[in-house]
Amino acid sequence: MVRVTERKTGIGSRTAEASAASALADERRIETLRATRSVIAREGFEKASMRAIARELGTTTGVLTHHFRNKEEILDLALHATRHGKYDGRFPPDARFEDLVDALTATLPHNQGSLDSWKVFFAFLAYLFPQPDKAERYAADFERWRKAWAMAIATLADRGEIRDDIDPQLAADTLLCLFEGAGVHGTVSPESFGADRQTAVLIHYFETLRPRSGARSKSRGVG
Amino acid sequence: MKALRKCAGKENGGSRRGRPVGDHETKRGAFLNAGIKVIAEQGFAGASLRKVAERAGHTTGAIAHYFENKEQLFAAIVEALFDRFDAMLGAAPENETILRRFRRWLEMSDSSVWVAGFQMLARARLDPALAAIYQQHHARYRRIAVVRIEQEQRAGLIRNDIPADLLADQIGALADGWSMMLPIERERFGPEHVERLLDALILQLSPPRR
Repeated sequence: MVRVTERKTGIGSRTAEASAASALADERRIETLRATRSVIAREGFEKASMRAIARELGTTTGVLTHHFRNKEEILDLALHATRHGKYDGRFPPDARFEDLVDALTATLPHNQGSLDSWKVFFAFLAYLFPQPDKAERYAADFERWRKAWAMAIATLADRGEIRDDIDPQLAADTLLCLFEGAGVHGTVSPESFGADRQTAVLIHYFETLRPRSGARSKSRGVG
Repeated sequence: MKALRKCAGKENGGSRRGRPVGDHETKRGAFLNAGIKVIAEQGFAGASLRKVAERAGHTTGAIAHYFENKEQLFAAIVEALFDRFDAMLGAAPENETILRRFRRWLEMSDSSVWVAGFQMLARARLDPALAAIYQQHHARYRRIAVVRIEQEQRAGLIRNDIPADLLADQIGALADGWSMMLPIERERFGPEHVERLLDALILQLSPPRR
């Protein structure tokens, strides 16, 4: 399922031999996901019926079922599409401190499109809670992101770019909480907690991860 | 806000009819607690006044006397959660640091409060009245936190190279982030882990050791 998602939403690499017909089908699917996102952002998850999505697209439910197995598949793909791009947690081993900061700040709700993505994400989480089996599946995504973050933080700590007296796992946990929190705060209070503010808060959290003259111990000798 | 005033009006209406105020408050509190449980179990979409009334052992008619609709009940639940938080803050020793208070908050709630809290926070994205309640309380806590952090910065308890208002927003965003991750990953965010996370945060926000 995830593999399909990645291909369809442009995260992964599209195979070179993809035919024109499947490219057209992909485009239909991407349009559908975009329409689904709008419906969920505007009206909530529970209102996102096949009929509502078809209406948003100006088509029929018959056309939708040609491209997707069922509503569940559409909703799943729409959710995964909200979390693509830089925040998928893949960092090259030579990533710098600034790359980490950029990766997170670029994914905050900065404009209408990303605000919609966050709303879809919250809608989905709210819908998941009473369904533990699905929540578990989604928790795996968090786990994956966190691992990648912890690894990047550990590498930077080895190079002396991040303080070495904080467990990278804990820093990654807090970073993810802070990131999700900044997103939810920004979604609920866009006026007092806009894009600039969210970015500033994240950057200053990163600042607390920087080595400090009085607090560093071995990091000076490493790298 | 409108919903709140309506709630308040309803309460007055109740006591005017000669109903003992204590009884009224107890019953209202029972509905709020039942509401938290139903939302935690079935989500916002699955919660209805009827289910909440049943859960509290009353009829739909009885709950309608307290809350006109689902939105009003949820606004009251959010207010009640903030009231609990305020009571916790009020009970804290005067000289307790802001991060200790944060720890208290993380420890005070059971999982249904976390889950229901997030359901409501997520709902606020679609419900301007609910969002207004959050915005108002967030702004209030932020003001309190900024004053507190400035004091602790002067006292050398918190690093002073980051402006107090940014630290206040950082803690506020973290609180929201935690309240959303805790229910999703209940096993990961057990008490011991939360304790370690807070210790790391305290270390990061401390002034450099000399």
